[in-house]
Amino acid sequence: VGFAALCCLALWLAAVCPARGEAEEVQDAPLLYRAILEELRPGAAVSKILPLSDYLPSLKGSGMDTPVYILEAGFSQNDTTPSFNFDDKKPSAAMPTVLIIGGTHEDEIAGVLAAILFIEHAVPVRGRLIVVPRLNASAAGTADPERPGPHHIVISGASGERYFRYGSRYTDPNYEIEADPIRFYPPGARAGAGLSSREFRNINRNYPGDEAGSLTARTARAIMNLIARENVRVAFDLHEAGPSSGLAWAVIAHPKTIDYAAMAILDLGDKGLNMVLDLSREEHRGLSHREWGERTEASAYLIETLNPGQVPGGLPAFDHVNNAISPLWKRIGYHVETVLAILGIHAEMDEPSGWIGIDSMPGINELKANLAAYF
Amino acid sequence: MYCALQVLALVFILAIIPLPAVSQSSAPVGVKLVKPGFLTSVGQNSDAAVMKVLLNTRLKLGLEYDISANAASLGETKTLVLVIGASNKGLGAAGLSLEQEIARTKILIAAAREKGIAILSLHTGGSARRGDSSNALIKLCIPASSYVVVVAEGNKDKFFDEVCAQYKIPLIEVNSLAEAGTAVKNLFQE
Repeated sequence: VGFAALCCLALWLAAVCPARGEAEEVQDAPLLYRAILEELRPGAAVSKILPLSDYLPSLKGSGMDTPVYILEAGFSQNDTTPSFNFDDKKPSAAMPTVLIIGGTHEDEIAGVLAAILFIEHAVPVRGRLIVVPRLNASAAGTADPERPGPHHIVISGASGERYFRYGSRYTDPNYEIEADPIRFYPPGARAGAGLSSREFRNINRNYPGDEAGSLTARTARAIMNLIARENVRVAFDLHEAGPSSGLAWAVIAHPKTIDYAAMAILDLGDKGLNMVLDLSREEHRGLSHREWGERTEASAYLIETLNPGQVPGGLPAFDHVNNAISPLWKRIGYHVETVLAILGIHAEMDEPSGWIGIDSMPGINELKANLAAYF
Repeated sequence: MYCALQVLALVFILAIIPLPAVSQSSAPVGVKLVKPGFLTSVGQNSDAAVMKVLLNTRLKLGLEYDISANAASLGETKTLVLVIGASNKGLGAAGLSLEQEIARTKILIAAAREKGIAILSLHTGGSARRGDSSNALIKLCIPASSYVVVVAEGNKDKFFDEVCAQYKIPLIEVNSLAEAGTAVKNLFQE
């Protein structure tokens, strides 16, 4: 038993602390996948866990393959996998689905934890929920050298202490197959809209992705394929923003459903939760809310809460859980409440009425009263 | 005698204290606003999109809407509702500098005044829509307004109180978006 425990520990350490610069590490990449699996305690509604590489086989075995959790209850899943081509904008025959993604940027930890909360507590009573809690698996296992946070977040949960790795905004270069360019131009970006070189490894500048591109671009492409294949009607990308960005406490919505976001913001306001609306624009080419909204049938939303640790130089000793200005319960609570508010509007306004319903999620008041009870 | 002195003191105090511009959550006494109304943004913010849903979908006010209206948009409008707050991203996407947005707003306000259109200024975006750029737009719109409605989170420094008091414009401070909607609805003639 002791030997097995040591082996498990070694596997975890290998997964979350890869030595840099050695080519053979790519062969160890599935350990990242396993580390994410071991981090979560899936709830009763999780019917299936798939690798993201099911949606783009060339990711298999790479450091970017990551678990995809399917949650459903009360419905039998469509057994056939319809053919798809998202450029046709034809929804598949699969059950209407909501997609929630955390960990596009693995240092935006409240988005990761909110996604995990959905996996562990949500019960879809109508429709289906797909959650990718740590989209950038390689970034989950490394720190951002320019903006490091704490190694992990500790929550003394109902079932003991739990450790959640605080990662990086960017794909770990040790797991990327292409070198950073001098300047990176997101797909579809207008001339002159180049970004700094490491944005090449930012998934949220790489949509709609490229099946033959970098692993970061392939990951973005796999999400586009997932949205098309799984009949995703509403898709959320959960993020956080630093104090100086001006983006915190905001919903960025694609124009086709900006009124839905506005209605949800009003509903949140009625509960005393203040979010600002922002519009997904042409200048946002390469970002999830723009490309999901433009290229698929899905309604696309990106949610931002305030992460006070996201400052230049980083704050490795920052206490995310108990910070007075933006404590973790508040950040996770805003994500959860905003997702549920937007879904409430879709359930009310879309056809058929009430197509999506999610029960059993703790609200912000419950998380404020006892965050640990839900982990 | 003591009681009379107290009354005199009270009268004196009331006389020297300027009347507050703030009228908490209640419509100020004065003329009602008239429809048709037109809703637009000053600062290219998306707060105007939220107010459109609140005022038209929830409260059925039936205002026309264009996020970047110009003088020609006003048509038969009797009341122009301005949702103030600078969005750098919004300005960038519209290809406008702050100076250009100020120029657009000046033209819009001048056109409204020329046509006798009442102006109602709103600020609903909270602290996210404050700062130098937003303050410049606020100072531009308030003097031309019949009323100003502000959600309290964006008026923690009482900037709206100061500017409204300076120009003697009635200010309604509310605590939420929903209250802002009710305040606006109450200002319109049934």
